[in-house]
Amino acid sequence: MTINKKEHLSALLDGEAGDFEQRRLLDEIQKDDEMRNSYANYALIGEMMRTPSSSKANIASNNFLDSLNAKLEQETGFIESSTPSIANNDSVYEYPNQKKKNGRIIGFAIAASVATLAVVGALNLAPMGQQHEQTLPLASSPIINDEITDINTLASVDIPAQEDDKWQYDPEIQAQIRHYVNEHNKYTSITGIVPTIRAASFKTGF
Amino acid sequence: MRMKSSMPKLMTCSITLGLVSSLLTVMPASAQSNEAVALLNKMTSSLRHLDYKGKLVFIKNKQVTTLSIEYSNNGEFRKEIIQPLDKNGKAITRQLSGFTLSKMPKIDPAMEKIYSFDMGSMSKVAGQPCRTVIARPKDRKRYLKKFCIDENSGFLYQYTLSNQKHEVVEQFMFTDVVVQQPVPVDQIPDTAKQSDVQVIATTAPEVALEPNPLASKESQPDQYSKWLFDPLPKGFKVVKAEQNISQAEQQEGMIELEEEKILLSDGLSSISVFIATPEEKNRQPHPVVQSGALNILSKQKQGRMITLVGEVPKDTLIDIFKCIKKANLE
Repeated sequence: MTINKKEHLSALLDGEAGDFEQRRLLDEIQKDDEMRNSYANYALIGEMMRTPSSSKANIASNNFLDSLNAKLEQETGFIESSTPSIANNDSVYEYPNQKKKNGRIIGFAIAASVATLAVVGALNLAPMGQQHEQTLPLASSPIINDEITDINTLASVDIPAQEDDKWQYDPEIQAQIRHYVNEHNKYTSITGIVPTIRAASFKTGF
Repeated sequence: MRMKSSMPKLMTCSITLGLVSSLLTVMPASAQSNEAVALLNKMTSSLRHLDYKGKLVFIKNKQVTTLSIEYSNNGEFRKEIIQPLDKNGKAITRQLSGFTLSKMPKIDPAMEKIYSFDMGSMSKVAGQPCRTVIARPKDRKRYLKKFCIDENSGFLYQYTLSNQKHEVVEQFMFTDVVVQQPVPVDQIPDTAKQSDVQVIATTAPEVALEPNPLASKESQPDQYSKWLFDPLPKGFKVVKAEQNISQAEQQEGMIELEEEKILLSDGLSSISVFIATPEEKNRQPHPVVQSGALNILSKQKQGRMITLVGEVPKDTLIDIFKCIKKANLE
């Protein structure tokens, strides 16, 4: 798999790929086993780096960094793909000073990564209450669909900015919307898992 | 004279040929549609029976989310755990009791008035071959739905909802999945086996096309409603209606808050209608909120706050809001 493809996969995971690019990449993931495996690995690396609830990843410990480095080493070309090194890409013109620039960029990227890990570590060490001041508890509601006996509440729905600012800031309105969405998602759908997928995705942004 | 007598014969022949050729063209299309419906129904039941574990990509609002999913079924309980991998979200867990297949939506022939069902080409998702099935709406009230289903197991590998502009509004696709064998029949409880029979039957569940305001709570507890729709968009039916009454403290003292919930469905898309006593703090109309395929509309009507939530275009929600009205129960 070329470095370019890995860059595109990374952009897809970061939500930075455009519409057309997104469709093209998803088509390729369907067909290309290697690309699919890389995508799954990147998602796993992302999970390790971003999940504060995981006890191993909670604090940026040496073990965590070691395992991350080991994972990155297995993924040949990942370091290159995360930096704009284009030496092996024939289709892209390499400027005379590119290698020197690449070296600087790699150095800068490593420094930035270390700084990011430090910030992540510091955030994880802070009390949970401070991190989630903005999250709003969902009012408990009676279960309407008697088929479902338990469903987690959608505790951290972020309502997007709307024309009416009241939506953005009024916790009662936000809680009410979450309540309705939660109730709607409890119903059986022909696709079975889709309501739960939607519910899970609401937790990461409305 | 000869010319005159041969003309009707020629006409008869050409009409017969035309009819035969049109039948030949129509029949495969109809057979294809039946196959598509059969595969969709197989998918619906298999998603409850199969155990599976994997990773999937979910796209909405042009944002990509990677989720891990685990679904297990021990014959008595079904458990579904979905965990977002690329954000700090907690897992969503659903525990469902038994094989309540009688409640599962099924595609019945009446739905072909609002959707055309087509078998598409074979594709490959998560390294597995699957058949594309398309449910194409015949009006602008719903989204186009594309499924990629394993023809043998009925497992759904990919699902896409597109709007009228052919833009993808919501999509999920497995990137990695392990599907296990279904629960053996001898391990399924007797009550569940009875439900299975209902799935095999092609008849749609008996639901009223419109809520009957004169029906009593006792005779039709699932259909009783103080509200009716005049008329509902084509293909939508009331599936369930129920009421909750609670007490709340307001400036004027304790008041009774009444909330009614009505579930509408066209078989593939569902809309929840919540009708509540507007609380003092919550009397402002809300704009339409969109989240992927899901739209939410909230507005007051006849002294009640009406909120509609559904995976349909926002114009469909507006149409339903316009047609809902209080039933005259006197």
